[in-house]
Amino acid sequence: MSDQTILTVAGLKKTFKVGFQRKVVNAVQGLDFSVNAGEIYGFLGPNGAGKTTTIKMVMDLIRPSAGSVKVFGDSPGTLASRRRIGYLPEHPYFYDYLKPTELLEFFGRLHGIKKITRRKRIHELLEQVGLTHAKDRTLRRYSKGMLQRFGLAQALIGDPDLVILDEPLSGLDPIGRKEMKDIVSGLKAEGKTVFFSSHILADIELLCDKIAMIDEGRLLYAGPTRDFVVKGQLEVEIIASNVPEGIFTALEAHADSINSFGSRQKILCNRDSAQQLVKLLVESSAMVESVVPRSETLEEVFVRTAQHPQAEVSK
Amino acid sequence: MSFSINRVMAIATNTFKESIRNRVFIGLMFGALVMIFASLIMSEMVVFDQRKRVIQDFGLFFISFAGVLIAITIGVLLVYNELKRKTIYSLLPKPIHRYEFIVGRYVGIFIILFVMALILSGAWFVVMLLRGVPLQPIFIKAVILILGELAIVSAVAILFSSFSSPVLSGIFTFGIYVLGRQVQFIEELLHAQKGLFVSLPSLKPIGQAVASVFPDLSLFDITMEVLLEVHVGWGYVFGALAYALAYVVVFIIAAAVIFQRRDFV
Repeated sequence: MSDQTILTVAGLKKTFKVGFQRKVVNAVQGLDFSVNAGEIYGFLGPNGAGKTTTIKMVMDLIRPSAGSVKVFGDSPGTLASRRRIGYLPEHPYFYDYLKPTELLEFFGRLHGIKKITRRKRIHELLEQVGLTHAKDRTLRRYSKGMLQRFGLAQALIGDPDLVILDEPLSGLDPIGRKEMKDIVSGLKAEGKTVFFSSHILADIELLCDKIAMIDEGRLLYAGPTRDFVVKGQLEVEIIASNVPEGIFTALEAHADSINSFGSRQKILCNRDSAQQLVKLLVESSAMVESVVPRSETLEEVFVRTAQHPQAEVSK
Repeated sequence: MSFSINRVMAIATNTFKESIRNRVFIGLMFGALVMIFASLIMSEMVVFDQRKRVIQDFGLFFISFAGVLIAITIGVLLVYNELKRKTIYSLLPKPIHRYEFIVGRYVGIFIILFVMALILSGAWFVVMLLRGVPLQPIFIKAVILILGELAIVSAVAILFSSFSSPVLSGIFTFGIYVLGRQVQFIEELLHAQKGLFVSLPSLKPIGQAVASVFPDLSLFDITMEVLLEVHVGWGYVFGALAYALAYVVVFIIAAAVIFQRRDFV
């Protein structure tokens, strides 16, 4: 993985004036994060957090009220940067009177891809997203899942270095979600950088090297996914059998609780005491069957972080 | 990277594919064709020496009328539909300039109008041949001038649709078309010794503004010359087309500037 920064968001703000009284809504309130080449970067937040507004500013569909976006060191509106970005909008809609091959042909022309290369690329992309069997249907006859997969194909038509996906997993059935996740992992294997938004925490945790978490337009966390999850580690669960009676007093001094299940003991302790307890068990010839750190789910960490944002912000 | 004719033509081709599926286009084309052929029957109802005029008048009127309706309805919907159907979100992030989108849309609608003019004028020529009217160059000049007028009307429609709703855009565009057809009349009124601007002098600045800013669309109507067999030179046709081009450039630049500044929320 390279450390080359390819997307930088600095002090990004967006204010809308809505309604008859021009009420001010601060959709994005000063975001700062950066994405390095080769990463899968998750953009996490509940519905209405400002994820799509931020992504639209990255795609130059919306202009920031303040702050800046740099893509490949350039403004997002330049053709040079757009050539290197593939974008799947949230709930994608396409010209539904066209067949997928016709629309990819059109988008390929916009990318300036030569005709022979274009045909080959369209064939490969439809194969990659599993739509070869439906290439002769108009997009009007596509299901939601098929449209989502086609959306990914059109995002990849220009062979982009950075793929930006807005809620790519929403509305998909379990098989569709798995296929989409496999494709996203495959993109990373091809050396592409993927930036994708989701409000589904499990997807982010599984796929992403780094995350930025926002709520009400504010950044709550930006950094490695692992660090974010470690913050939520509560305790360690040790399962042991054949524990000699004589060491129980010593164990109780370090453990939060000890429960017996037949010949087994389940010992709960904090992370700092775990090593000492394991040492005691091993030295007493007890059988240590498992040592499992019990974490809060990402969802629990998210809720806690959203409730106490100041304590968690990291860059 | 600067303006690319390939990207503009790709957008124009897509616009053409979209528009020929538009029911309004198909309906208006069909209606105009029926009316042009119906002029054969209508011409039976007048005295013999007027038959030729009825056919010529009907043909030019319906080519122009259908064209204006198509230019307005398709023109005001093209940008609006992109937003309503959210297709703009997958199109604009592609490596294109926003102004190329506007120009491509405009070229696409003009191709549609060109095809319409080709089909309807073909039908008109057939009707005239059936009535024994020999084809003359002035017929082609009349159709070319109608296309010049439609070029302006569709540019106005695109301009309004870049920032307004289809209903308002349609009303504004039709308003400019109607006023544009009256520019010469308004100019005559401004210089007259009696009439509207003499009895209501407070309206005179409005009349002057309309006469000096609005395109004079009556330049593109040579129906009377066709009916009276008055010669219209190619110099006049090219002059009118240059006049149309100047307005089109101004309207499309204005549409592109507005579109460039828009947020696509």
